[in-house]
Amino acid sequence: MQASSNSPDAFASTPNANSSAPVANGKITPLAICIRDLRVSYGKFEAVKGISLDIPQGEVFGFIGPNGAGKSSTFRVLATLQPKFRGLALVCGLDVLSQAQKVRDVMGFVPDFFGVYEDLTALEYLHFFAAAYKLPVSKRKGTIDDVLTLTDMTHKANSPVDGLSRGMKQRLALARVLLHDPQVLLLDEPSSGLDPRARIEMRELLKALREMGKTILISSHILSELSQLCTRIGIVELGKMVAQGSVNDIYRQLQVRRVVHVRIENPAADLMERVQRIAGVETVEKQVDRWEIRLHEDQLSVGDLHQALVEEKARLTMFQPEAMDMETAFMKLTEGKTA
Amino acid sequence: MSLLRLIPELPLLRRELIELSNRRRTYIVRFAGAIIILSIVMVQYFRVMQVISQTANPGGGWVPNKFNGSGGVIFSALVPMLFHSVQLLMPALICGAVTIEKERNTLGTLFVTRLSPMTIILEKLASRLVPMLTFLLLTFPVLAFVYSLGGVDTTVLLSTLWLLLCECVFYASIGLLCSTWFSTTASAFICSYIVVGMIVMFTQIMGFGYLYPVVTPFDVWNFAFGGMSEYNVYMSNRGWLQQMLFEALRESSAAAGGQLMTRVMLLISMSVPSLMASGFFVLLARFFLIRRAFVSSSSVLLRVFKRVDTFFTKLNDNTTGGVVLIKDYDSLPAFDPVAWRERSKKSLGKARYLFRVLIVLEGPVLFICLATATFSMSADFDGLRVLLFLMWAITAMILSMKASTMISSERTRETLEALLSTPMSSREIISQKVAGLHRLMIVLSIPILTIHLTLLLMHFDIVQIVRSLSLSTLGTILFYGAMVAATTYTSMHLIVWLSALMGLRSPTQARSVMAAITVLGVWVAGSAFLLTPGEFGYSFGVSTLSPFFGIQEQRFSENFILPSQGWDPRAEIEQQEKIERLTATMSSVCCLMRPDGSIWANESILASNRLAGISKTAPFYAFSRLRSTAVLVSVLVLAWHILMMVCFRGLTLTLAPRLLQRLDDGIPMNSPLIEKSSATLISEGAM
Repeated sequence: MQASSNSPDAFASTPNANSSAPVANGKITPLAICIRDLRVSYGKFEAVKGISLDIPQGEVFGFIGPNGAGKSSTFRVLATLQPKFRGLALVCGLDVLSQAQKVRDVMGFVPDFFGVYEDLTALEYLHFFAAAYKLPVSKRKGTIDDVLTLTDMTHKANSPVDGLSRGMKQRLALARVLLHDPQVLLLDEPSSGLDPRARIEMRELLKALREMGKTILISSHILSELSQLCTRIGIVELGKMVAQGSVNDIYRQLQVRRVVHVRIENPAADLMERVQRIAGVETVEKQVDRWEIRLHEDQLSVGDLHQALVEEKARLTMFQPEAMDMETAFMKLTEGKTA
Repeated sequence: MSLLRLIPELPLLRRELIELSNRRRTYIVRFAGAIIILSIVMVQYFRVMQVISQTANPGGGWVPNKFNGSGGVIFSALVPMLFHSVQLLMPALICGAVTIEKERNTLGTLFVTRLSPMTIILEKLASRLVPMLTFLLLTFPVLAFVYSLGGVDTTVLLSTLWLLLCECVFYASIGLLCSTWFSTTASAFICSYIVVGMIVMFTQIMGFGYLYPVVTPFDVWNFAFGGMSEYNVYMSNRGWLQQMLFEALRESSAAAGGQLMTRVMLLISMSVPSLMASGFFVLLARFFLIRRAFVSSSSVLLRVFKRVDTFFTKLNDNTTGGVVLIKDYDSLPAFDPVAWRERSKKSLGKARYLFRVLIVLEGPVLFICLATATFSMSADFDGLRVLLFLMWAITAMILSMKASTMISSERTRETLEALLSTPMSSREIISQKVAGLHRLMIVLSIPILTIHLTLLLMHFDIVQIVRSLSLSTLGTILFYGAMVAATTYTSMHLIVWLSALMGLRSPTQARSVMAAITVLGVWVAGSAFLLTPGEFGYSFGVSTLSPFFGIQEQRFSENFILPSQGWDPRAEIEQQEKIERLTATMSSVCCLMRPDGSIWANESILASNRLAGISKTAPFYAFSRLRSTAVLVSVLVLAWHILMMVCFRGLTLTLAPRLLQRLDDGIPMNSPLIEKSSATLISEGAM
């Protein structure tokens, strides 16, 4: 079936695929996820058209793309739930195709939609999956207590799963995939459908997991959220990777201007002209209560702009760099085509 | 243009019909349905022609025009098949009409449109009547041909068409009511068939007692035409009410000078009760459409049991102050989580709930068995066999429903992906799911074994056996007991594994239940139709035999008993022995191929002890004349069924990773089934 274009051996002489690891600061960082020329077809329709991806251990990689771009298909491949695909997919150096059982031991998957067993309490639900993950009986109670504490679900342990709010259900799903302490977490739109509070709580939880050294592959439609959380992002459209790299790399690549909002007390008449002449500033626009300064971040950093304004004797009452304008990047990179 | 404006737009009906026409399945089902209906009609046609041929020509000479006017006989044999087709197909067609909207969460959007609830109900009803009527249209050319043979009155033809329409509306309204009441298509499907089955059984039972309640259009047709055709020599007189109706029909037609419309109007007026009943069901459906639009999809049985629990707990608190002798304890899964959930959290898994199910099933069975054992004068009572098959039908339906939905219910509730991403292999998941059904199987086997025990006690005098210490009889009893236990175990597992296999592919519970029950139903009905060994001796074979064996035996009799030959006693004995061997072999083959074959084969062990009173048309009669043959056949049939069960189990477990769309180590994924499932994924937008 899957005539893998690349054999696992091409990337790793050992099962851990260290040879495919990128070198950063003279240190080899082993890859948690390695995808090469991944292609997924449903009948005649090709959902994923040759995506390649390297995610080192401990990285949080954001997967962005419109509906039908091929994100969930990629997740399903890595979660061993897509039996037919072409290309290579390794999770912690383990081939998804030939070592699916082992992959499940090192990976935790939260699908974009998930139901819960209505007849179980949260505690029973976690015990159910602890048994399914084949955790030793002696360790189960301790592990379940730990994940309940981590996800702040202890007070809901004896509540029926069916009665939990969506945010709580998402936390429970995260608790479930943490039971066997996986190295890689695959989270397919974990924040979708959550209210702002639940979304912020989820983000904090993911940050905690990142600090624990987990490798996280996360997809989301809330782009600003990904920019705050992810070390790198990949933008996919129509089954192809349009761009990938750090958020700053993508801005640079797209020549997206950084916008800084400033409010100046009693500005001099020629101040706007002088600011305009600062190297790296593209435009200065006067708004009702503030100035909107657009700058080339590769020429002038936000800190340098602040310094330059102070040197121009501007009395700043507000200096607010705009959050990463991911929407602009996304719109620029994609053409709005969906499958 | 102005006339067109008068036609209502009917957007829901239009949408339903467009959806129906866009589905490839519609055409496949229609084609398969047409083939089945036309095959049955043709077989019936040839069978009747054969009878006419025999009765019109007993001497063997050529009788010209012998088929003239034979349309009436063929017609009265064909039309019941059409009515039965409606009874069989209509619930399946309509049970999902409203539940599908509930499952897709689209019913609310319909409510906020300007469509009134009654309009929704009527358009849904019409949308399911259209495909059923197109099915019936397929048989009209055959009816036209039969009409051309003569013997079918125009009144009969037109009234039959009208009553067929009424039959469709009647059963459609029942199915629609179930669809509005239940939250899932699977529940509505099961309930529709239970209600339809009860109505059919009730009218049959009333028919035996010549009571004839004029409820269903089929009853009306039966009263008016079923047994009164002057050509129908095989149907007996049906009772005073039927005669009265027939006479009224005849008198009215005579009084009206044979006016067609008068006679038709009389028949139409006779169908009013069924139409009123249909109207009542439609009104009830309208009543429940909104009230039960957003009911929880959790198990109805589980909710009933929980309410019963609450009632008894309150009663206990009030009467004893809350004394509890045996406390329930909530265990947690140690090793087999899937089996644990099936056993401790499901309505048909928890020991306490299963005990209640056992009481509900075993109580009436025990009562009937005790009554039969006490009052029956015969050692062999066919009524107990009917009860046995009824119990098996209930058992098969419950097990099939549970086994077929064990994966699709996870799919519907979106819990499957989480389960599949755990390190449990697909084999483990399926095996644990089946293991979770073991308790239910034990509970369901108890009434069945009770009936077998009663049959055993009726055949043997235990006191006499103990006194005389007859080891041979004791051995037979023990052997029968062992075979019955093994057969029950095997048959239940066979049903479970077959249903599980059918349910693995289905994306919804309704489809998996329908697929499993259809396969089982086709196997049972098809084999009962085609593989009935029939009466030994061929004296009057055709009317009692299935068509293929009827024709087969006809050939034997023509080959072996030739009137032109002189009478030779030795030749006749040899001939008789040969026929006996052949019949026994054919009966054994029938038992091997039938799903209920092992039950029949076991009955042969009892029958071999006392053959008197056993019907010659019983499938096990032929090989019951020798105990050794009976034992051999029953062992063979059991072995064959065990082999089939093992094959189905192996097939299910082998195909499980592919059908679950999952990678398991070392399993190649080249399968057209995957392509098929992938297409389903596209339609679900999982990418």
